[in-house]
Amino acid sequence: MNNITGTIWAVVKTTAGLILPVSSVILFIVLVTGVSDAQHIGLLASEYWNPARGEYGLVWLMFSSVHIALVACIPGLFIGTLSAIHLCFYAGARSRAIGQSILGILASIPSVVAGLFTLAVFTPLLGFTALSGAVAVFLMVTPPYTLIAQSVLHSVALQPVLSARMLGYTDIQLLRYVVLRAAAKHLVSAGCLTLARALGEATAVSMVVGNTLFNIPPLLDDSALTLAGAILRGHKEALQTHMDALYAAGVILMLMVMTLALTAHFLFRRSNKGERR
Amino acid sequence: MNSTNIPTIDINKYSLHTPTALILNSISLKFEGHGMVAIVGPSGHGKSTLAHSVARMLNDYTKWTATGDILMSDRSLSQWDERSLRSRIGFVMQQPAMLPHTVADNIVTPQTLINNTDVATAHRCASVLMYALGLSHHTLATRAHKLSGGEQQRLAIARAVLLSPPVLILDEPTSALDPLATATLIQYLKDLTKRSRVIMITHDIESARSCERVVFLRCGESQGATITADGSPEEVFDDPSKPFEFQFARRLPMHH
Amino acid sequence: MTLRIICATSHWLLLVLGISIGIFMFVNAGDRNWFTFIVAQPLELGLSGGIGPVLVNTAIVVGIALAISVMTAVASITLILSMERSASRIAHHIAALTRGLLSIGASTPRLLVGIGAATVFGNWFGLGITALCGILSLACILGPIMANGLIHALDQQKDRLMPTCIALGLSMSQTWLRYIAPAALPGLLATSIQCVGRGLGDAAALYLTSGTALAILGSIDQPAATLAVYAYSLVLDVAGGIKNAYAAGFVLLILTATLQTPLIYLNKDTST
Repeated sequence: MNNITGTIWAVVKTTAGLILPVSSVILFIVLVTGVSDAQHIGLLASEYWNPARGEYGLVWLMFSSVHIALVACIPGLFIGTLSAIHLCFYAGARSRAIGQSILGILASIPSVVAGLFTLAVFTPLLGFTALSGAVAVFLMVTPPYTLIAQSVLHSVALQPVLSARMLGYTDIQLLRYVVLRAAAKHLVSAGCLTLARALGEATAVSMVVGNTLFNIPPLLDDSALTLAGAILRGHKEALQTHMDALYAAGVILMLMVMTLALTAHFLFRRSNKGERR
Repeated sequence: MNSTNIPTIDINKYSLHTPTALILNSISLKFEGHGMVAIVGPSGHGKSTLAHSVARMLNDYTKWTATGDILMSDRSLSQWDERSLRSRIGFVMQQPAMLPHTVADNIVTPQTLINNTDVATAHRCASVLMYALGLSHHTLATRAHKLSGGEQQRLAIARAVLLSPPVLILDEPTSALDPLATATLIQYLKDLTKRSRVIMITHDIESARSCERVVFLRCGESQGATITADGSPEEVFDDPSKPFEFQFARRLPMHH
Repeated sequence: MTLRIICATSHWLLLVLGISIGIFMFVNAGDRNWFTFIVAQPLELGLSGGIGPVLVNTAIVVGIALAISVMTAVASITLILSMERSASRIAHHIAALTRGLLSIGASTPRLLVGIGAATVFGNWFGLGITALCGILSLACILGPIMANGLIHALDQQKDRLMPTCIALGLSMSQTWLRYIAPAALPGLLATSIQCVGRGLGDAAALYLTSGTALAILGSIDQPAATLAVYAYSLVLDVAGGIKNAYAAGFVLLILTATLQTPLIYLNKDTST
């Protein structure tokens, strides 16, 4: 009798435990199987994205996504790293506490709020353009990166820096020969994750970016439309073909994000190996 | 660059407080010329704190207030700029951190960066020192994290010594070393004392006895550590009129 | 010296930018009675009036979703841990696979989880655009985050405490239940707070699954807007609703900031 209850309990436990992991991936399966008609895939190769006229070219959507993400991340990672260095090595205890608290709040603000702020301050100056979108992404993405970078520096570079300072290293030497060497792989890994986050940003960007492609290629002072934005805006009224195109956009976005996340993961693995005793 | 003259370290009625406690109570010590001094005493009584004070390496986390002063060559320690200070005083922590990533990054690169030694000479000096300290079975390309605790400690000492500071402060340099390595290190340091001043924090009595001067630091009945003995090893450890020090040196448990 | 100045400038620039977010939201919200705003009903499709019902909807949707995610997360973690303790290699592979899947789930952009959930729960299960669909989709987003955070905390405490407990002779269940699990509680609390924040802030997925209806939820098979969705739709869908959007955004900001404060104290031990 006990054996049967034991087995039933084991089955229940396993099923319950698997709900979450399976649901994590079932969404991916949905995206891939979502395309109802194979011939629609051909439409994805067309140049323009204009669902009203039956054009579903994804190329410039991808360009917009990557473009805005890079324009946001490059200054973001730069300023974030400098800020992390300040927090870790130069800030006094009180200054660090304040900085971390404010950055913590910033890191958890909803996308809508970041979008609203960009709308209030930057869009009047920059217009509904890709650059506005990049600003919104910058606001969402830089605070979390700064906090991660600071944590990385604290755990990996703080002690070597103290030792090196006692030997007489100057600030620039410390940065070049100790901090960057010790933390490089971790910071790049965090950077990859940040870029992935930037690519997936939907709400904030779509509030300020114009959501239509007038000029091709969409440069910084043109209205733009990202993959995520297209999905978010188009989902409500999408008919079958349009919906397939949105699923395809989702698959591509997923692939980009996953590649970055895996790169970050494997970088982390390798840097961990180097430091095992 | 290091000076051929060894700066005098003058600790002048130096007291150190935290908001809640007195750590060092009016310490007065003078170190002149070359030689080796051991600062001994029970754990947690302030030896490390004193060493950190002299090397101007007190951490920022605690709110320290200090009275009295520490002078190097008749100038207050706080008035020296960072470069001049570090080129004169070398400090090796109790649990030193390794610089990333290899052994060479730890003992060759600092020489080239700080003393502007050319790479070939730096390599040569590094190899010689590794041999002297018993580390020669590792190559310069070994990753520093792979070394054992004792080897890392010796590497950190080599790192500081190769920069030729006239004053060298070592915080518990033998704590992770086996007896042979300890003996090798002490012998090396004795050679070093012919041209520099070595200050060694330790609670290893044998090592302390190899020094020509021993300073005993401990907390008495009142708060804060004071110097209870200062002289040759015999004067400090073998004097029956100083029961605490006498028993400490003979590893006799104290009865209160 | 210059390095110091550059770093400090970057840092303070970020902070100033951050603080001005709050200021601008407040200023652009215009002159209003905040108390009325929080409590009153929305009028004219949200162009005026308050956000009372929206707040209630938000509480319901996020609350239930959080409860579901905690339960599924705990179930997954129990599974993973018991698999890792067993002797068979298959079990170890399953555990590693599960961890990987949870990781993937946690790093999927919320929008994509949103359209996936809209298809699975909305179309295949026939729920359409309703609060229930939104709750389930939010649970799919928050669940992996919760599971990852919790398992990370447990791993840390396990590495720290397990060798000592085993050496003392404690049994496995004693070690886990009396020492490791309680030690991981701050981590659990921190992850929960983080998840509530994410749930409050999510507009993308809930816009697609839970809809933009502003009335108080009668039952969970009606569409309902959460605060973030309300603000978003006021900006893009309804003309002239910007002022209320800023006000709603400010409320969101205050809520998020309030949620963050316990986290600061929880994480105090790690910052030196």
